Amino acid sequence: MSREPHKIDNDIQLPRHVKPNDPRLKLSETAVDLARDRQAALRTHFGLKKFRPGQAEAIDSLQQGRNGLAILPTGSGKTLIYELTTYLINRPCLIVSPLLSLMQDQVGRLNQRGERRAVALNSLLTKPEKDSILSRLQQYRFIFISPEMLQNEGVMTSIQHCNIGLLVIDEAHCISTWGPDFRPAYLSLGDVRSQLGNPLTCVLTATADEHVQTDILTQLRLRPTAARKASMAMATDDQQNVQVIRQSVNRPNIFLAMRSVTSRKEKANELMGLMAKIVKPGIIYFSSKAQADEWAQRLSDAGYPAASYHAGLDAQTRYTVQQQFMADQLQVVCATSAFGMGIDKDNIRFVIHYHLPGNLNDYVQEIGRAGRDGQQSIAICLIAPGDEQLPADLATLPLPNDRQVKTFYETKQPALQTDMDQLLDYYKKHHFSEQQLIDRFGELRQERQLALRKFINFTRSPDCLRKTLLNGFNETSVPHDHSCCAPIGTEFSLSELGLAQDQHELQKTMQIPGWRQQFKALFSENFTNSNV
Amino acid sequence: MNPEFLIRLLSASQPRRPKVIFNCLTGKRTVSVLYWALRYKLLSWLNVFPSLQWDTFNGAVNKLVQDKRVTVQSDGQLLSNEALENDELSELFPAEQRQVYRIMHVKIVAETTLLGIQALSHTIYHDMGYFPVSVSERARVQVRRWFRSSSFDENHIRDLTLALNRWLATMPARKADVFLSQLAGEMHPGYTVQQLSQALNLPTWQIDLIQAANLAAFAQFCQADTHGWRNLLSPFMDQALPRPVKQTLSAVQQGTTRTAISQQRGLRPSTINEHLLTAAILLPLDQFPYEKCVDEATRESIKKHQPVNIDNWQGSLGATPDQFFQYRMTQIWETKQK
Repeated sequence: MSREPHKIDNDIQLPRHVKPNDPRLKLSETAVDLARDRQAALRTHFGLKKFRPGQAEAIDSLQQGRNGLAILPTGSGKTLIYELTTYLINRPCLIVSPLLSLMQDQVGRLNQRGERRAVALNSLLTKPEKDSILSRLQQYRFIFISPEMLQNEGVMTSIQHCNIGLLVIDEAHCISTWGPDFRPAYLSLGDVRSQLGNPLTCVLTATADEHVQTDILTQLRLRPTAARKASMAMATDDQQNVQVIRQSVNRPNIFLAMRSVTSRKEKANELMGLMAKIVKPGIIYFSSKAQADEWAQRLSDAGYPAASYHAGLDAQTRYTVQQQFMADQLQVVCATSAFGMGIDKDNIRFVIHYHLPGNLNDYVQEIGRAGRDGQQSIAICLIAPGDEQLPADLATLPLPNDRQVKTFYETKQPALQTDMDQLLDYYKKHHFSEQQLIDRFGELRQERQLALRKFINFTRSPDCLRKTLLNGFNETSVPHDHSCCAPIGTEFSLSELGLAQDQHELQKTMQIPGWRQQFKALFSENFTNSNV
Repeated sequence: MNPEFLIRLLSASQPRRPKVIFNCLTGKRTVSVLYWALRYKLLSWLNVFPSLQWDTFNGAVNKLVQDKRVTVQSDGQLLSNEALENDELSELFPAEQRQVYRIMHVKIVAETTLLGIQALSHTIYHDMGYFPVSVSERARVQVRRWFRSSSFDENHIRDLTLALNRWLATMPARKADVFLSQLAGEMHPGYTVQQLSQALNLPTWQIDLIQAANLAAFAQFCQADTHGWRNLLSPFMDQALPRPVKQTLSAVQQGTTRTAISQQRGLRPSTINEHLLTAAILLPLDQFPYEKCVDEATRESIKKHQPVNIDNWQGSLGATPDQFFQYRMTQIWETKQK
């Protein structure tokens, strides 16, 4: 066998193992360089060999100086996209993040990887801390910030001096879902972008149907590349264009199930029954903190290591619950929607919705926490009569009604004491007339009711749930089989899915070791034996 | 705030103003709050719960009222309907440990303790890629400083762990269990208050109090330690009295009159009076020069016209600021005598 390399033209000699018809040979030299750069960065900074689906495409777009909107499912490694790009462009990255805890988590994760030049600028900082950080902001590589903090002129001036190389909008669906009624600062991100000189922008979210995608791009004043092609004559500024990278929301390893019960009592029994036979760990979602607490207690009392997680708990408790769950000391977390963004646990086997989410996007986001390891997992909704009322109330209650808008506009100098006052003040300052605002909230109410209706229809659908779900995101359906779903009224078997667990080691209470044993765990035997 | 704890701060015989209790717990140091906290025998609780919110506190009050365990008087003061012994609180959280909170920056001490011990634990296991506890930037900076203040080689780490181990061995075992249970580190994610409550069969409010006492004890241990723990928390421990108060007190002790101090330091006479009243309330009886503020004859003359119960004393509406100062100083002196 000849050891001579192949030749594809007179100038380039290929190594022996590369075939002349390899499609990669069609890549331009630049594309090859870019691919090589990101592959090297992946190995150096993350110790990984392969990108997950969608990551390379999103990074490639940013490497080429094109803004990117990456709609990639939960667990697909979205943070790696901006982290790796930041190392490649070697300029600071500004990440707009919705939750204080998420920001802290992300800074923690970067620290964990040895990246110390990361900071979170948010309302948890005291004034001296904030001033100190702002005075040396240019030293940081990753700056996490809340949209509200970007409204502060001093903060914005400091950021403008940082020569931001990449602007990231993380969990960008919040622009559409939270912006209009309780985080109006999300609606100013388009202004923020232009104040920063329209830097390269990376927009990330796990779920966005077409409506949410349009909202995100409109608020950020970005246009999808395809749209630009259609109206080339009008497109004068490449900074406004964005490449949309979308991966399917389908998670084939998550079995989708709808379980109908006749009353709340039966629902509680059903949940207890499921806990006795389902493989763990898992998450149960509730729409109220009190219910999450109550069920965590009930499950603990029944012998399942369980705890609650919601925004009402202090930071230390949230940290402990999260770490115990990661370390498999807890088998069940009873959570509100506050739990999840940023949770990176591979072996979650089930997500149960005890209360229904308000739309398909939230549902997909929440069930996506199961089965990140690719193993069989399950998402179950428990549905009792009248269950749709709670999400309906939660979806529309925060929106000011016509009378509240009128009263606010009639008051000459409103006190701005409540969140609602702040919200209305934001719109007033942005030149919304009273009627425009009434109409806007009316539209939002209708949109949310429609989204909820769509979700309720999905839960009640007698057809393949996966097909209905994918249709909701304008995706092509996949063939239904026994490991796909159990629509309402149909049975499913945990055993057949390999998710049944007959024997549980029930513990009435979590055992707390004595201090000497804990000391040994904390400081290792080497530093304990000689001491005791 | 747990109603069970709050009711133990109330009295069945002395009506108490909720706002004073709240301000005392959250560390408001106006003379009025300090004086009434002294009268309520709650001064040792000063600044023990600086993050407590009024809504939470008021919720606990309302619950007690609703359950008819507390009566609200016409002037808004609270009177307990139960004569609960305070010994339980003193056992969980001794007064001398509570008093450490007066000089401690509570939140930052708690955060620095958590992160410092976590960092030490991971250093021992040579694991620098850990997920840090969620703390403020100030605590992060302080822990970094602590690590830079010494070599943190094997000998130093051995000294630190040995000192910590010895200190823990001096504590009641249950308190030591709770202390370590709430720390995080390698092979040790820690336990929540709820989990501790179930495992130790104690209500959560008692776990909170034990942990608060532990934090004060740990701060005291650090202050006294010579192996390197002192550097961890020392920037967040104050002196017993604020510096301006100390300066005024020192001048009075040296024989300077209040008027002269006021002129020399460019402060209003009322501010000087407040400094002295603050010092008188916060210091033990024998450490404050009462004679230089209100002489015995004046004290006796004030006392003569007042009822036995100091809470029922009536100050004159037309009193000058100076007369009020002497009147209040006499009340403090009398309280401390008893």
